[in-house]
Amino acid sequence: MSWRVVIVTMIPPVLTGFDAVIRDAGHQPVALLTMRGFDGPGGTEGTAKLLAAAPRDLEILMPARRKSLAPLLASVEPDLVVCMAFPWKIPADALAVPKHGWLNGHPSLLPLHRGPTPVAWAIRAGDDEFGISFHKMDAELDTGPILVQRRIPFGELQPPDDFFPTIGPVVGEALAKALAKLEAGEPGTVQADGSGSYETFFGDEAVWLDLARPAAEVHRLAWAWRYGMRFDGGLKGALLEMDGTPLRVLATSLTEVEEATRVECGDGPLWIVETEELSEAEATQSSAPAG
Amino acid sequence: MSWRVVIVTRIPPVLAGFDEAIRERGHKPVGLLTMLDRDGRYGPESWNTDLVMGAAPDMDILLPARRSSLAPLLEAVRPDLVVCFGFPWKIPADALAAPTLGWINCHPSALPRHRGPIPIAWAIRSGDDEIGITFHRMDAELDTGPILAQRTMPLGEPEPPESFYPRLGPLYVETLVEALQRLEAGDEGDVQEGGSYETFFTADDGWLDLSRPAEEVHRLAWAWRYGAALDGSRGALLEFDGKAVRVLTSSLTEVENASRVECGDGPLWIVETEELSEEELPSLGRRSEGAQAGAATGSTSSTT
Repeated sequence: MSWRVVIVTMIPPVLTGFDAVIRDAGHQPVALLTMRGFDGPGGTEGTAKLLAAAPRDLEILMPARRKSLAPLLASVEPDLVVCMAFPWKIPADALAVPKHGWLNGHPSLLPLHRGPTPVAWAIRAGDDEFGISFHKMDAELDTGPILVQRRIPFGELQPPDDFFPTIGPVVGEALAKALAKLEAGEPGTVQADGSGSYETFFGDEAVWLDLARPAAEVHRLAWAWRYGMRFDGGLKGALLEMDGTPLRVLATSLTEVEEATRVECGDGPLWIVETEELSEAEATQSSAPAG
Repeated sequence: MSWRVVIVTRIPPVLAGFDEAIRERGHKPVGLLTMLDRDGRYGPESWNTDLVMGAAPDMDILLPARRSSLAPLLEAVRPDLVVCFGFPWKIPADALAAPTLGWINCHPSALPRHRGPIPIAWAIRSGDDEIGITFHRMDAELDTGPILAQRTMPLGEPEPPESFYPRLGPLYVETLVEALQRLEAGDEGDVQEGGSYETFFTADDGWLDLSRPAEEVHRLAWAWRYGAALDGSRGALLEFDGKAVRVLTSSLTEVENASRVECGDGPLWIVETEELSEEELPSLGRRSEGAQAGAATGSTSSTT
C-alpha cells in the first residue's frame, strides 16, 4: 500500500524532512502545497529557499486563497496530506480531499498551546519542555485526535536557528510512527473537551520588557519573542530602553555572562547578552511606548 | 463576458505585461502556470522567485513537475483561456483541451516565418530588417495555429538583449489586446500558409568564418546574442591574435578603437569581445577541428 502524499508547509527543512520520512515509509510525496512569502525581502528569500529545497518530482501548488485549496489539492489526487507550519485554517472541502485526511504536526504537547506560535507561548509560560504532536486535522485549529506525541526538553534557551535543527530527528521519528498508526487504521486519542487553550500571536502587551517583574519572567519573555511572530503591523519585542535608546533584546541570561549588561529585575539580576538596534520605522513607532 | 485566464510563461516581464493586457480587456488572470528552472537553462536563477513573487496576489500559482501534470493542474483553476509565451515545454493535447477557448501563444516572429525555439536569433541571422510579434491559437504542432494578431518592429542596429527585450514589451501588450478582441468577437484567426521551422543553433554555427561575406558574419555574431544551442555552447567565436574569444558586437562601418578584420567581400569591425570561460576552453579544443580552418582563414585575411 503506497499512498500519494501532499506535503503542506512553508519551511524548507520541514519539507525535506517530511519528504524523506514519507519515502522511507514506502509512500510517494507527489506535491508541495504552500503559499508565497509575505511581501518584502524576508518573504522573497523564504520562498526562494523553499523552491530550491523542493524535490524535483513534486508538483508545487501555491493557492492564492483558502477556497483554492480544495481544487488544487484534488488535481494531484492525494491519499493523505501531511502538514506543519502552514498559516491558514483549512476549510472543510479541502480537508475532505484526501481519503485519509490531513495529518498535522503541531509543536506543542497538545492540548497545551494551540495556535500559531506554540513554542513562543511555551517559553513565555515558563514550561520546561514542549513537544511535537501529530494529530488528525479537523475543522478547528489543533483540536483533532492525537496519533503520536513526543516530549522535548527546552534545556538552555538558544536561538531558533540553532534549536530547531536539534529536534528534527524526534519530529521525523514521530511522523514515521504516526504514518504507521494511520496505516493500521488507528483513530488516535481524542483531545478532551475544554482541556486546551488557544493562544494567538503576541501583541502590544508583551512588547516591552518590564524590569519590575521577576527576572525569570523577563528572561522567558525575551527568549519567547525569538520564537514568536507578529503580522498586525505592531512592534515586535522584546524591547528595552537602555541608556535612553530602545533596543531589541535578543538573548538574556539568569547567570552572569562576561561583557553582558546586568540589569536589576523585581527579584534579582538579569544579564542582557545580545541586543540589536531598531530600524528607523520601528524607532519612530517605539517613541510612544504602549501602556 | 469576463474570462478566467491562466498565464503560462517563464519570463517575469511577460507575466506583468500579459496581466496588464488581460485586465485591460476586462478578463481575470486567475493563475500563473510556470516551471522551476533549477539549472538556469532559460534565464537567471532569480526568475523562479521573481515569477512567484511577481504574480498578482489573487492568482493561484502552479509549478508542474512534468508535462503530464499540465492538464490536471490547469483544470483545477477552470480556465476559459490560456495565454502563453516563453514556456519551454511542448503542450500535450489534454492540456490544450483544458480551457474552453483553448490556448493562445505569443511567438516573437512574423509567423509563418521563423517557427521554432529561437525566432529572434533566426530573424537576425537571416538578414531580416524587422522583428515580428504574433499571437496565434495553439494547436498540436509548434507555432502553426491560426493567427489572431501580428505586429512588427524595425530590428534597428545591433543591441544587447537586455535593452532590446524591454523595447519589445509595449508591442506584445498591444498585440495581445488585439488578439483578445478578435477572440471576443468569435474570430477563428487566419490560417498560416507555408512557413519554416528552425531549430536551435549548433556548435558548428559557433565559429565565425571570415571567408564569408561581411554582412553574413556580422549577422551571425549579432544573432548569437539572441540564440542558443541545445548543448549549451555559445558563439560567436573567433580566433583573435591566436586566442579564441567570443564576439559580442561587430559593425559593418568603421568604429573607433575596433579591430578591423577582412571578410570574403570586405571589412568588418569587431567592436566588443569577451574571453571564454574556463569550462568552454577544453570543450572547444575537442570540437574545433573544422573551426580552426575557419580561424586560420581569418587570421590570413586579416593580415592582408
